[in-house]
This record gives sequence, C-alpha cells and structure tokens, in this order.
Amino acid sequence: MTTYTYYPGCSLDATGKPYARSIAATAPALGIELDELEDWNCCGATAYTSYDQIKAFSISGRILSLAEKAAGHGGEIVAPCSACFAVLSKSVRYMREDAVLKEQVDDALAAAGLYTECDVKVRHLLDVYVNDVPEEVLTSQIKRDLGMVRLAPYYGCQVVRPKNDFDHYAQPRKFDEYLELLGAQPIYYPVKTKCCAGTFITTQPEVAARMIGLLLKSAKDNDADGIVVCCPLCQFNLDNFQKEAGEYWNEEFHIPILYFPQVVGLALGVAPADLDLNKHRVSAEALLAKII
Amino acid sequence: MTDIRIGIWRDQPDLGFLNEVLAIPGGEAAAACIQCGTCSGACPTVRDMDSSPREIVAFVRAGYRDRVLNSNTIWMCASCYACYAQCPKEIKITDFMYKLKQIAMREGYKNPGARRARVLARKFADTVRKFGRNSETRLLLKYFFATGIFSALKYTGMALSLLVTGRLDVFPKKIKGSGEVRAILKRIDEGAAMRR
Ligand code: SF4
Ligand code: SF4
Repeated sequence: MTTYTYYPGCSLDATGKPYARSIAATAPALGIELDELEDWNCCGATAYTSYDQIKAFSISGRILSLAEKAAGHGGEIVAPCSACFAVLSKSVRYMREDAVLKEQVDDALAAAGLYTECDVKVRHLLDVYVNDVPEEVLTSQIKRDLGMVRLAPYYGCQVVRPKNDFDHYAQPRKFDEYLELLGAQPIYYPVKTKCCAGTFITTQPEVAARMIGLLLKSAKDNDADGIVVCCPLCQFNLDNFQKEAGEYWNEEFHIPILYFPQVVGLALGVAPADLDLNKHRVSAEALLAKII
Repeated sequence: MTDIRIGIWRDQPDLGFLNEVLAIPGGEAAAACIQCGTCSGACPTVRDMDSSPREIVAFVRAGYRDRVLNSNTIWMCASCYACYAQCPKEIKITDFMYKLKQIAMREGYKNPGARRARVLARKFADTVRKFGRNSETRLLLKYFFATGIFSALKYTGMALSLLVTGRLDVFPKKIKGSGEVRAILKRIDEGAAMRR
C-alpha cells in the first residue's frame, strides 16, 4: 500500500459522487490508499481566478499549507479533479517563480496563522493510477474482458495543460495506453484534448452546446461505445448536455460518459451498481450489455 | 487623400493599464510575441470572439485599454490553456485573459458577455467566503436566480436527473477553517484598500 495525501475537491461530494464511489471501489485493490486532507477548502477553480487573482492563489495557499503539514515538505498531494489539479499545481509553480506574488500570499495567509513553502508536488489521480501501480498488480487482477468495448479517452484541458510532467499537452498517449492495458479498445479521435466548455454551460450555453457537441460527434463518428473522463466537470458537461449539443449539430447523442475508475472497476469484476454506473444521466446499459 | 489611420490607431496607449497587465507572473514575455497566430489557431472559441487571442496580445502590448476591456474575447475565453501550451514564445495568454477579466469586472465594464460571467464569479466567491467550500448545485441555483428564471427552466431536466441520482447537493459542507478562509480574504481586501 502506498499512502497519498488526498484532496477530493468540492465536486466529489455532489455531482461527482460516482467518481468518489468508483475510486473507493478500486484504489485499495491497486495498493493506493487515499488519506483525505483534513479540513480542506475550495481550490478556487476558474471562477475564483477570474474574480481576484491574489485571493485565488491565497486560498490555494491554505490547501498547500495544510498539505505540507500532512504529507511533509517535499511530499505529494493527489487531486482527482483536473481543475483542482491545474489550480494547485499552477499555484505552486507561480509562487515559486514570482517573489512579489509569494509575498502577497504570505501576508494574506499570515492573517490565519498559516505559511506555505510551496514545496509539495501536486499530482492528478489519473497519473497515480497510470504510473504508480505496477502493471502486473493491475493485470493479474483483471477478471472481466472489456475487449468488445470501444472507448474514447478524453483528457480534456487541464490534466495536460499548462504543460506538466504527466503527458504531452496536445498529443497525449498515456490514457489511451491505460485503456488498452485494461483490455478495452481505445479509439483514436482527434479532439481528445479539446475543451469541454467548462463553466460556459452557465455563462455561454449556446457556445457550450457547440463545444460539447464537437466532442460527442467526433467520438460517435469513430464508433465509440463510451467516453472515459478524468474530471468531474468534463463528466457533468458531456453527460448532461447531449440533448442541447444534439440540437446544435442536428444529431442524436446517447453516449455514456464514464469515469476512468469505473472502467478499472469493470475490468476488475466489480458490479456496475457498486461503481454507480446507474447514476449517470445517459445510460450505460448498451455498453454493459457487451461485456456482462 | 484618405486617412488610413482608422480603427485601432485611434486608441491611445494607456501605460497604467499596460503595466498592470504585464505585472502578472511571467507577463513581461508579451514583449516577445511574434504575432504568429498559433494561439488563435489553437483556440476553441476564436470564432465567437470579436478580437482573436493574437489580436488581444497585440492590443495589450500597445496599451489599448478600452479596446481590450470592451471586447467580448475575455468573456469567451474558457481557460483551456491551448493557446498558452502552444505559443512558441511561452506567453501565458490564458493568464492575461484572467487578468483582463479581473480588471473589467473591477471597473464595471459593460459588455453583453460580461454580466453572466460576473454573476457566476461573484456567486462563487460568496459561497467560498461563507463555507470555505463550494457546491456546484447551489452555485447553479443562485446563478439561475440572479440571471433570470428562463435559463433555469431550460435546465430542469438536468436538475431532475441530479435529484434522482442523489447528486443534488444544495449546501456545501462548512469547514472548520472557514474562519481562516475569511481571515485570509479579509486581509487581502484591507491590503487592496490601503493601496488605493
Ligand atoms: S502564439 Fe504566442 S507568439 Fe504567436 S501570436 Fe500568439 S501570443 Fe504571439
Ligand atoms: S485559454 Fe482561452 S484564449 Fe486560450 S485557447 Fe483556451 S479559450 Fe482560447
């Protein structure tokens, strides 16, 4: 077992519950123990950053400060949400590079008696599943053959951008390879790192319908049985707006949107209900019928 | 002879604006922009923008405050970092967009695209200040009430689906350290007030 300091982020308690459940159902078998950071706060996401930069960096500063206490200096903190991952890693990098910014954040954190060295390493949960679990630990436990399903790995923006160590920012391969390792057929489709529209579902719904539809259409045209995601906001957008997206593109979309630990769980033989596969808006029945 | 100095040439450079924008971490790199247009080519929403990301970099560098802050471009930026990742000069275009949103919001620039984004950002900030955490559903509800019931009606299908699958969570958990979060935010407000 490897223990990680874990930052679940706000979505995992609400719209991202199936993500949380499928992580809990798969991580222990892979030797991943997630130790939730105590009393964590919101990371700020894109909405806060658009509002006030210093505040956004300072509230992430509190998280980093707690993480340094929990994981130790030079330790790691793992986030399952791509937005949290991007915000926290960006905070670490920028505060290390920019002394003026660091000073402002130091001053704000001092009001709460906190301080951060900015020396934890922020990692995405997908990175942990893909890179930290020895291949034979995973493959030796595979109980269900996923060979019949064609899955579109969807990276989205923030797991690979801004540039980071996980994978290439425009042509990543790791998620594709991981699905292959799980026994499924990863499909190639050219928009795997295009934006899911993020918060535009609220502020620019018409533009969002086009952006979401582009992803769905590309997956559909390449005969995907499902799209696999690593972020609760991507899941939310792709799952909930298929009707609006279809209206824009003059198409019908019924593509189930799965979290990657749900696919891991399926491969490991976990019952679909224990992975909350019945909790999405678009039903995964047709996909499940191919493998169960 | 016709005067060809129309359009952008009428803007007067605003040095205060220029300095504020270039002060973001790594902001000075904007000087190295070669106007190649890679950012615009990578941008998923460029067709909805009145000025492309490349133009925004040029206008910022020229100090064209009003032109930049009145454009819908900053509100059409989805923060996807595609431009930033591909720029050959490593210019952090996404961060410029964030900074421009902040200035436009602070100074009350009225742009059709701005209002909804402003409401969302404010509601988000309010929830974090109060609870320390955020609840997307609460955020959506507050946002829909603030921007009009029509958009809310459009999304009732979604709300129903979240409700039946147990994913509707109206109240975020209040954290023990919410007092700490408030103290941090208050300190920044005081600092900003002092600087003004
Ligand atoms: S990609 Fe970079 S160098 Fe090219 S126009 Fe955009 S900001 Fe300038
Ligand atoms: S970060 Fe904004 S400007 Fe840059 S490519 Fe994405 S949407 Fe376009």
